[in-house]
Parts: sequence; structure tokens; C-alpha cells
Amino acid sequence: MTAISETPILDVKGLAKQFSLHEQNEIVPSCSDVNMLAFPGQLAALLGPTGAGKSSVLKCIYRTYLPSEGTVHFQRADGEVVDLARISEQDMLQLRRSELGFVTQFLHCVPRRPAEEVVAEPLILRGMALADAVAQARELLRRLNVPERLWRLPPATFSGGEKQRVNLARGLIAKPRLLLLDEPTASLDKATTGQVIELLREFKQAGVAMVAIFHDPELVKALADTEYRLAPPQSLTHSTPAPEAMQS
Amino acid sequence: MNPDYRLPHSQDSYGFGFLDEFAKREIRRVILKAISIPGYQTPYASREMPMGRGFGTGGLQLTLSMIGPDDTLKVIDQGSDDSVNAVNLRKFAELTCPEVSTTESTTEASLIQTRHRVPEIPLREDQVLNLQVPYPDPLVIVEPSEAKRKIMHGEGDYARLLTKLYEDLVKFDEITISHRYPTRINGHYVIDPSPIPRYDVPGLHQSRALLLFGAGREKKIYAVPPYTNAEPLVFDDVPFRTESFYTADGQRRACDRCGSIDSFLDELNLDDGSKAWQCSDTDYCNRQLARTEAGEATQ
Amino acid sequence: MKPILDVKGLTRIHGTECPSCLDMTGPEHNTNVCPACGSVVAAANVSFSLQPGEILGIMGESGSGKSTVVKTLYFDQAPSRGSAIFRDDDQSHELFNLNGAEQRWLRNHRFGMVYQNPNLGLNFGISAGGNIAERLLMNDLNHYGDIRRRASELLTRTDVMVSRMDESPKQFSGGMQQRVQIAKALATRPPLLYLDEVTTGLDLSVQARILDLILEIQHELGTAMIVVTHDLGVIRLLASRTLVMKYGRVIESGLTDQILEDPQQAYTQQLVASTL
Repeated sequence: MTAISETPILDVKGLAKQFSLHEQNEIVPSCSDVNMLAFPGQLAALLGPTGAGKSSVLKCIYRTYLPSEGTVHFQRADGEVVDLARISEQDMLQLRRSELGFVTQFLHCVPRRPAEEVVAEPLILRGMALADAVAQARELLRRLNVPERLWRLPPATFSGGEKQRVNLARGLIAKPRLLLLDEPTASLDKATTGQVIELLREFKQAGVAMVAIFHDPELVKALADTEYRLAPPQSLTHSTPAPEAMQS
Repeated sequence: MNPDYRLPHSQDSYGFGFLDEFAKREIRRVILKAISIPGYQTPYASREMPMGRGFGTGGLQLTLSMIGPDDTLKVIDQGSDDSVNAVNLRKFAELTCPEVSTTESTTEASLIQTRHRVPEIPLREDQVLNLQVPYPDPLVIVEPSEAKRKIMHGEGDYARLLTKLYEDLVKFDEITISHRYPTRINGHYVIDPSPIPRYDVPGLHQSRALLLFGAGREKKIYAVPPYTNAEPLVFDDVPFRTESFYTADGQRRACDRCGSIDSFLDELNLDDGSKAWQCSDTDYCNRQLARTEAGEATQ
Repeated sequence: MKPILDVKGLTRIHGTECPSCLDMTGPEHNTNVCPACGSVVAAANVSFSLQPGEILGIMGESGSGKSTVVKTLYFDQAPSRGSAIFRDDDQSHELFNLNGAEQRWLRNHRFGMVYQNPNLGLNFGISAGGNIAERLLMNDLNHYGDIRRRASELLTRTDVMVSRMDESPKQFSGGMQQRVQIAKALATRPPLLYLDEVTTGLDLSVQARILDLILEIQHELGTAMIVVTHDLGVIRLLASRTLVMKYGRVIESGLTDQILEDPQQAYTQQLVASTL
């Protein structure tokens, strides 16, 4: 059983997000009063029905959305604790390059670049040589059952499942300190899902903290150390699974 | 000009050297400034002269500002003392500068005014060469605005001029400028050395004599002081080439009149359709001829 | 790391200017033109910083002032007010306090600019290779062979056929002219590159190739760039941070993904919703 680290790497307090749509003159709430913690080597799962704002929470942490209220305290590698919602844009970009990872639902990538380079990019951004980065990228693609004939092709024409595997590989290749995952296995078959579970377990061993949205309750059972249940924007219930479920 | 015209006996009201003293003083000051800033085109109030612009009014103003009764003046045009323009200018100096001596000998002259050639014989420290210049500014081929050209000269920005040389090399495998080859003076200003052939450009470098350039129509005077570097613009890997007078079978042509193989030759088309080659510098040619004849006489 | 460029309060007003100019123009008034004196407030109080190696997008529609910003930074125009500090090696240059010679030096040696209109960036009287040679000659490269080699390298890098390097860019397609501009801008390996609507008006496939090229170059050389465009796709592809301008003011700024997915201002929301 992995030791539970006492210092959270991520401390979200009172996070709320609403969209002010000026044209329609509407305020659309997305999530509210979210409080959660993430610890190194552990996976916190966000649960709840569609519309509960789970993706929003992840996007607020990553600053793709600007939180309307609340704080997102993150402990950087250098030990300092910063509020991700308020640090400078350049500092945020630096963290995204070196400490934060986000596997989104959809593959956002530079078009026209071969899949293996798309996957290798996070390593290259951290200074690795192209050849080495691509070698690692291929390993990961192989592990996720992406056929070799696709490696040199741009992912734009891949199937949904293939795109998702490229997306995953890109998000997983450079072990960040905090990894956000939004439905990472949604379009995957059982075998590949199994690989992902293995990978995420390895990440835990390596001390990576994770916050994940899983549509599949099996994954929650296999990987989650903590569960946070969100309801459509108002409140949030926090539950920790029974001790026996944590031995996974 | 009437060759028999003489100034009246009483010359009280005629100034020496045609120009009024104020004009001469201004030009001398401009010359000093030009010498202080080697290669810089110094503007001046170019006077109206009794010949049209384009006939050497700039060179003439230089000469008339500097000349004194103890000077000996030589005037050449394309190397020749007896071309029409040279003769007229020389006679004008004789008329307006009483007691000035004139000569056809390069070695006897203290002051030489020239159009489009530098004398073959290297000049001495006590001599001055005044060159007649049509267009002083080498940048005029790449930039029409004078204001912008001044800034380019000031900043030593000759990239566009060098680009023109690059384009020549690309198109023709060599730089095609034959006369008025842009030359950098003292490491900064690039001048148009007037339409002297490439052959004469090395003669500007570290000259013992003072070289002055006068553009009357464009109202600029510039100078290459003695012992100053004058370097034609080239690329590091494309050396400067002068006119070669070698025939197809590797022989250096000789002057048909005096036999010299060391001088710049003019190509002449004779009446019978054949070509002859002759020294462009007539004084030089005469000397060589005299030497050859003396040599023959002693045999 | 200190920013390579620090712009504060950059303002450019065409005309006589009066005390009402700034108050009576801008997004709330829907105009650039001062109703009191008729002056045009092209840009007002624009401030931002740029890190070495970063790509900043400036997005806006016509009249937003986005081009004015880069034009003043590249010294094509003088600002009415404001400061811009450019950090290069260990030196700091207060751009608008420099004299003409110093500005021209920076322009030729440390900045690159690619214009929307190739007429502004290229000399059509000389060959494509000659355009690049000109820049190299300004940077004291005086060896004909080396100049040819470097120009060929740059043109190859920007996908221009080297066999055409001795032709005038007049004879090239729009896309190729832009690529020659890019090659020319990069000839001096500048740490800072301005790109002003460089793909506007080009065919889509051509645009894509040029944008890919720009990204590749940025990866290879780590050049900091300011990309001015009205096209969201260009912003999404190139810029990590974005400013949104309207009627001369910066109305919103942020991380590009945040601007595109969670735009805060009404105008930005309109822009983002307008993608075809």
C-alpha cells in the first residue's frame, strides 16, 4: 500500500465558475463551492452526473477557464505554494511546460505533424533531443496499441479511439507532478484500458498526483484513492472509499 | 572663345583668377573641411562660370581658388593636353591668371586639373590633382532621395550598393562597373571617384599628392588627402580587377606610337577599318617616345 | 527570466490631439476618431511584456490598432507616448529614446519584420537572393561565396526553390513572396520577430505551410515573436498568449486557450463565436 503523503500538492477551496454570456445576457453557472485536495502518488476522482461541472473544475485548475471564485493552491517543485488562478500568465505557461499535465477529452494538437512528434513534444519542450524523445514516444504509442503504420502520420485522420490514444500518450509521456485527466479511456477498448490502468499505477508509484474524471466505475474502483462527488452547480459532497477499496 | 582676346592693361577692376575673393575663400574653406573628413561630399555654393555645367566648372572652381602667380598649371581631358576642352580651360586660366605658367608636363606642374583620368606618372607631395566630377554620389543608383543618402553615408550603410555588386556577380559573374568604381576612403565614406577607369583607382590609394574632387553642377567638393587609404568596394573572395590590355594569346598590348606596355591605352578606330592602340596620357606617351628615339639615336 | 520586450502605455494618435481624445474614443464609444478634434487614436495605453522565445498573439479587427503596435516597435512610425524596453544579451534599450541611427541598427540587426504586403518587406528591383544578401551585407558579411551559401540555406529552409533565387520576387506567387520575406527576416537570426498579418489573403493550403514553417523556426531558433492577425486559427496555432484589441485598446489578455474557451469580454466572446 502506498504511503499517504500528508502535504497536498493541490488545494482547491471554494472554487466556483460561471460564464457571463454578454450577447445572451445570461449567467450560466458551471460549478460551485468545490473543495478538494490532491496528494503526490494518489489519484482523486471527480464523480457526478453530466452538467455537474467536472470538466470545468479541471479546466479551472489548468486555467483554461478563469475561476469566478475560490483559490487553487499548488505546491511548486521549488516548494513555494502559488494560486494557479492568480499567478502570471508566463508563470502558468512555465508550470504547464514542466509540472502540470492535462489529458483533455479532445485531441488539441498542431495539425500536419506526425503523431510520434505530437507525442514527443512535451519532452522536447523540456529539452530532450528530438531523436530520444521520438524513441520514447514510439514506446508509449506501442504500449497503447497504436499501430506502427500510424506513427508517421498526422493524427487528423485517425479514428476517435486512435486520436484519444495519441492524446493520452502526449499527456503521459513527461511525468508531470500533477496530472489532470478528463475521461481518458472514453473511446478505448478493454485491452488498451488495461494498459492505461497499468500506466497510471506506475505514475502513482512515481509520485505523480492525479485528478481524474472517469466515466467507467471500474476505473474509479481500480485507481481512485479519494472520491469527490459533484452535483450540478451548487454543492459538493466529499467521500473517501472504505479502506479495503484503497488497496488496489 | 576668342584666342586673341586679352584683358585690358589696367586690370585693377579684374580680380586675379576670375572668381571674387569671397568665392575663393569659401571654396578654400570647403576644401579644408573636405580634407578633414576624407571622402565626405562637402556642399558649397558653386558659382556660375562662363561655360556650361558639365564642362568642368567644379574642377575649374577648385583650380581658380587655389592658383597663384607662382603655380604651374596642367590641364588634361581623358589624359590629353590637346583636346578641345583641355585647351579651352588652359587658355581661360592663362587669361584670368596673369603670370601663371602652364605646361603639358606632369612633372613640371604644381597643379593639375583633369577630366576622367589620373596621370600615369605618380605625383609628388608638392602637387595637387583636381578632378572634374559629374555625379559625386555613388549611392545615387540605389537611392533617389538625397536626404536618405546623407543618412546612409553618415551611418556607413552601403549595403544596398554592395547588393548591386552582388547582383552583377550573379548575372555576369563579374562586377560590371567600369568607370566611377565606388571606392571607400579612409575606411568610411564611399566616393564616386569620377569617371576614371578602374585602372586609375589603385593610384588613389596612399597617394603622395592631394586629390580633390569638384562637382560644379551638383555643388559638392570632396577630397582624398595624401597617404590615405582608398579601397575599391569588393567582396572578400572577389578581388578588384583592372582593365587588362592582354590580347587573346597572352601578350600585353603596346602603344603603337611609343611602345609602352605600362600605360592605359585608348583604342582607336582608323579610317581603313583597323584598330590602333595608343597611350591615353599624351605627356607620358611623348616622354616614352623621346626616350625610345634617344635610345635609337645612340645606336 | 526578464522579458525580452516590456511595453508600457504605448499610444499613437494621428492628428492634433486634444484632452478629450482618449476619453471619447475606444470600445465604449465604438470609434477611433475623437469627436472633438478629429484626431485618430490608433492605439492607446497598450502595455504587455514578451518573454524570450515566446509567441504573443495580438488579435483584432480593422481599426483595432494591432498593426500600429508593431509598426511603432519596428520604428516604421513614432508613438505619441509610451515606452518599450528591449533586452538583448545584457543590454537594455529604451526603444523610443534611441536616435535614428541606433533605431536603424536594431532594426537591421536584432529585429525581423514580415509584412502582409510583400512590397513593404522586399525590394522587387533585385533578386530574391539579393534581398537576403542585402540584409547579410548590412551585418558585415562581406564574402560573396558565404553570402550565396547562407542565402541558399535560408531559402531552402523556407521552402523556396533555390533554383529561383536569382529571379526577382515580382515573379513569385504570394505565398513564395512571404516565404522570401521570412527568409530575409531570419537572415540575421534576430531574437525578436514581428509578423503582421503574414498569411492574410493567401490560399488556405499556402497559409498552413507558412504557419507550420513559422512554428518550426520558432522551435529551432527560439525566436520571440509578436503575431498580429485577425484570424483565430492563426492565434490558436501559434500564440501561447494573446491580446485582444478593439478601437486601439487592449480589451482582454490571457493564455490563448483561455481566451478561446473562456472569453471574458463581450467583444471577445463575439469574436470567438464568429468562427465559421
